[in-house]
Formats: sequence, structure tokens, C-alpha cells
Amino acid sequence: MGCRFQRALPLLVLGLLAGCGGGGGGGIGGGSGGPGAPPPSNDGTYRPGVFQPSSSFANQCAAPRAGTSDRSGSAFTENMFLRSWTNELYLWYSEVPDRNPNGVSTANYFEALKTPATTASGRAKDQFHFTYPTAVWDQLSQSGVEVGYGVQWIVLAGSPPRKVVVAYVEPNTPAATASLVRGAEVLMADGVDVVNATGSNVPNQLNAAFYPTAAGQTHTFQIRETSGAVRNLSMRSVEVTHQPVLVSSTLDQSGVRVGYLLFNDHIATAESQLVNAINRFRTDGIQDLILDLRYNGGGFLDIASELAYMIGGNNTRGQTFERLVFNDKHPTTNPVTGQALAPTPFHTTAVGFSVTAGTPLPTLNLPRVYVITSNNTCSASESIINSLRGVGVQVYQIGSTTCGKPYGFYPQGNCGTTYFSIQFEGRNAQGFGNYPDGFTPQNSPDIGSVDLPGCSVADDFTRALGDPLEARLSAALGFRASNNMVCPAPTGFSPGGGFSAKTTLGSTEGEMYKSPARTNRVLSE
Amino acid sequence: MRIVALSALVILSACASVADPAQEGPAVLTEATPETHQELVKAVSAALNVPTVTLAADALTTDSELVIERAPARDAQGRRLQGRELSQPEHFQLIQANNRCVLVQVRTNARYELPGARCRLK
Repeated sequence: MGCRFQRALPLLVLGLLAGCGGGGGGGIGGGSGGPGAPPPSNDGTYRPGVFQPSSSFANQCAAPRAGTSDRSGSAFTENMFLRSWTNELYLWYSEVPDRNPNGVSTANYFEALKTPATTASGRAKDQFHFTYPTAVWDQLSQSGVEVGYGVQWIVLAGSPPRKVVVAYVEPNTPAATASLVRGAEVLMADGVDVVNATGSNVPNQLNAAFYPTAAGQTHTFQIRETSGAVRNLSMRSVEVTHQPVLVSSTLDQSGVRVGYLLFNDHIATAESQLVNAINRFRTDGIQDLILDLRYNGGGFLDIASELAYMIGGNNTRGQTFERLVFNDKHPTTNPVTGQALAPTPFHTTAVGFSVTAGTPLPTLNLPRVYVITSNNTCSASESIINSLRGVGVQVYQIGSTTCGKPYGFYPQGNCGTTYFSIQFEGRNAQGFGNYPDGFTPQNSPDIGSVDLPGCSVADDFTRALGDPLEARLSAALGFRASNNMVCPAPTGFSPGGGFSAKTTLGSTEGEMYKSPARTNRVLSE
Repeated sequence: MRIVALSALVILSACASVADPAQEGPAVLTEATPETHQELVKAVSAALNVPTVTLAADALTTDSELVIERAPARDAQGRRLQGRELSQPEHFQLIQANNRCVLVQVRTNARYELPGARCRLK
């Protein structure tokens, strides 16, 4: 690391400081239609089918914030901004009904600024349409540092009868000190019955206990261990430093060495941890890799590219990892950055997140990889699967259907709210990026999803992650040993599927909540 | 922002006037006190022009480099809002220069002295 100081300082372009990571508000794209369309109007009035540049409505706010670039405006001008911005940059802009922005709250108007289409499975085509308070979205932190206890909760049911269990605990954290382990179920929090309590104040009480917003807060819990024993404990929140590569181990399988890598988050510190893990695997001489992405919701796309190279090596070198495709108004230029659209390659050297930029990356040169997934496997994690498939690396999938998010955004702030509207799709070297219903193991196919060879297996909270007897890891090892032929009986879950008979603590799947960022309620009435 | 930039310039020029390359190098903090932590938060926040930033209590005590990224925002299902992040994080490095602890913003080379901190060459 020290050499970073010695060498020429890299010019890392920082999207972080660009307000909301750039944005389309700049008159990009136009969108008033082709030849013969009515000329654009700049008089600020709504005319169906006519879209003035979003920049002409930017920062004209119903409630201008002091000390900002906000000017006096109205809900109408905010709606007009969003309407034009959507028309300029939304991936499926042509499918958005053109609604009159008069007399509608901005929140409701934005909610409708998306395609009403559905996927083959019947899910909404656009499931990723959000707003966030700009003040929260703009918050920065040391890479991997969040206030909490160092425990990753899984909420199997967010309303009564609620069910919250521990997915994993990170070392050297309050949760580890309290001896919390995977699979423990939380029964009480700050004296409130987590399972059954009702009342308008209960969600606030529970969310405050599970997701402290500041360091130094002490909360009490009653838990039931997987053994059935019940005990009380208290934890004091701290600034936890997450460990994105939580487990990397080499398993001896009848003389064959198999690597297991639990990779939970594409954050900056992951780069060095992944490099270290791959180097250890190389030293150990592993012949196969089981990559566990079940709790990995994505993050830096460049890190996904690096890891894919470190797995596939020569199979990936010089090829496209992912190509971003914007709407048909922007076939050659990124409309937000203004740069020519160029594919992201499989990175063979470090980008410089936490390893000195340009350092050659180690690689396993594997022709195949076993990936453990769940419905929390999203975005950049899915791009690892899709991009390796795109260059002919065989991907076997163990677990359950991934979330189905081949999309991305350049969030845009206006009047104190940051808007997330899908702007691009990521496609692999073969031009494929159509997996809005996710990837699923082919022995338990879902309608619309892309089926991969592998086994559908539910999450197993009775065993530690990395334990060869944990159901998903065990299935991966067994599948590999059977020459990729034999799976246990399918037990995985589909997106949006109920828990029904599968709702036992030993084998279930829930929603993962990694510090749901202050504004989203996780536990409800 | 102008004040921040000006401060950085002042510190920059102050450091430049006395800097002896032989005595400069990557450093780590020798103690992590609340006061030092607050000083560090203030310097990073000033560099990035944000109200505050969340840092580990032991930031820069074992590594001379500090990586800052957007605090992960989640959707109602707990998933990252930005699952395909295309931006790059911001890097800082702590150096010791003439027995002073100085935080360097790598991208800009702006320097922020931490007058209350104690550090040692790494």
C-alpha cells in the first residue's frame, strides 16, 4: 500500500462528489419526437407528447432548500422535470404513459413514470424504481464501515408472526462478542415481542433495536439458539468494519482440492481481500471453486469484473465483461458522462480500489465455477454469472433464483430527492442481458427465469457458512463429485414465492437486510 | 467550498515550504482517541465537502490508506439501490511529514494537517 504514496497520484474520477452521481438534467437527448413532430415548446406548459429539456425545469422546487441551488417552483415544475428526464434517459421511455403532471403530487407522479409492462413470470418489468432523500443518499463512509453490531439479520417475515434470524456474524464485533451465531432467532428486542407484538409504535421500536442509527446505542435481545436454548443479551452499536470476503477455505474432497469463497459485498476493500483469497487458492492448488454469492447484492461493477477474471483467467482475457446499453436515443454515447460507450473488459489488473492500480491480478484459470445464489444475489453479482457465461465459462448454480437485475442507474437529485430510474442494461460478450426474472437452477425452473445447470437448494441456517455440511455447500460439493449430474431433491425458493411448507428454520430463505439505510422500514405492523 | 479549497491551499503551501522528502512517508496513527477521530472526520468531510462522514473508530491505525465510498443505500427489500456502481471511491493517505500527521487526498494531492494527532511512519 505504501507505494501508492510514492507513485504518481491516480486521477480517480469521483462520482461520489458529483451530487447524485451525475444525471441527465442537462437537456440531454431531447425527445420531442422525430421529423414531423410538433416543435418543442419552451413555455413551460404541458403538451402531450412534447418534451422540453429536463434542464429547463431543474431545481425549480415546491419547497426550495436554503443554501442550495433550489429556486422557487412548484410540484408541477418538479413533475415536468421528471417527465422530461424520464423521456431522455429511462431505458423503456417509449413504454411510459404520458400523464398530465398538473395536480399530482411529485411522489405519485414519479411512481407512475415507469413501464407498466410485465415479464414472462408476471412480475413488473421495472421493479427498481425508487426515490431516496438526497441528504441520505449523499452520505459517505469509510469503505465497509456501517453503524451496527456486526450481525447480518435475515427477515423471514416482517409482519406478525415475524421471524428474524441471524444469517452471519462478522468477527471482532459486538455480535461476535455476544456469541451470536447463524440461525439464532430473535424473540424479543428491547422488551418488545418480535414475533407477535402489534401497535403503531412497534415497528419503530423494533427497527431502532435491529438497525441502530448511531454508534453507542445499547439494545437488548432475547434469542433462541438453534439448539432451542433461550438467552438474553445486549449489544452496543459501533462503527463496524465489514469483511466482504468472510470465508475462504480449501476443502479436500477425496484428494481433490475445492475452494470455497464467501463473498458478501462488492465494496472497495473487497479488491484486496479477493486477491489474497485467490492467491491462497492458487497456492493450495484448487481444481474447482465454489463461489458463494447468496448474500451479495452487488456494488462496484469493476470488482465483479476483476473477480470474474480471477476465476476464468485466459478464458476471459481480452473479452467483454459487460457492455452497457442505454435507450435507443443513445446508441453510441453514455448520455450521462458524455463518453463513448465502450465495453467493460474483464480486468486483468487491479483498478485501484484497495490494491495499487495496475497490479496484475492472480487467476485460477478455471473453465467452470459453482455459484451459490439466492434472491439476494443481485446486480453486479449476477453480472459475474452472466459475463462468465458470455465467454464460455461453465457456471453451475446452487441455491435459489437470483433477483433479476441486469440494470443500472445514474441517480438524479432534484429538490432534495434523489430519483432512481433504470437507464441501462448490462449485456455480456454475446450480447445477452435479458434475465429480469433471474437465473435459476434448472432442476426447479421458474417461469421466465434463465435456467442454469445446478441444484435448487434452500438456505440452511442450522450450519455455519463454509461448513461442508451446510445444505447449499454440501449440494455443490455433491453435484461436482457426481460429475455435475446429481442434486438433492429441490428445495429452493422463487422470487416472491411464499414460504409455505418450506418455512422451517432449517431450510428457508428470507429477505436480507444490510442496514436498510434509515428510511426503509423493515419490520412492520 | 471556497473556504475549504482555500484552507487546503494554505496547508498545501505551508507543507510545501517545509517539506523534506526524506522525512515524509506513509504513516499510521499511534492512538485512536475520540479527539483524533473527530479531527479525522472533520478533515475528510472538508476534503469532500460533505457535512460528515462515517469512519471506523480505529481508522488509519493499522493502514495508512483510507478509502471513502458512498454509504450503501438499500431498497425496501434490503438490497443495494445501486447494485452496479460505476463511480470510483475516494482515496486518502496519512503521511508523516516533518513530524506532523498530514492527510493527503490522493486525487487532488490536497493536504490536511491533523494537528492533534500522533502518528508514526509505517
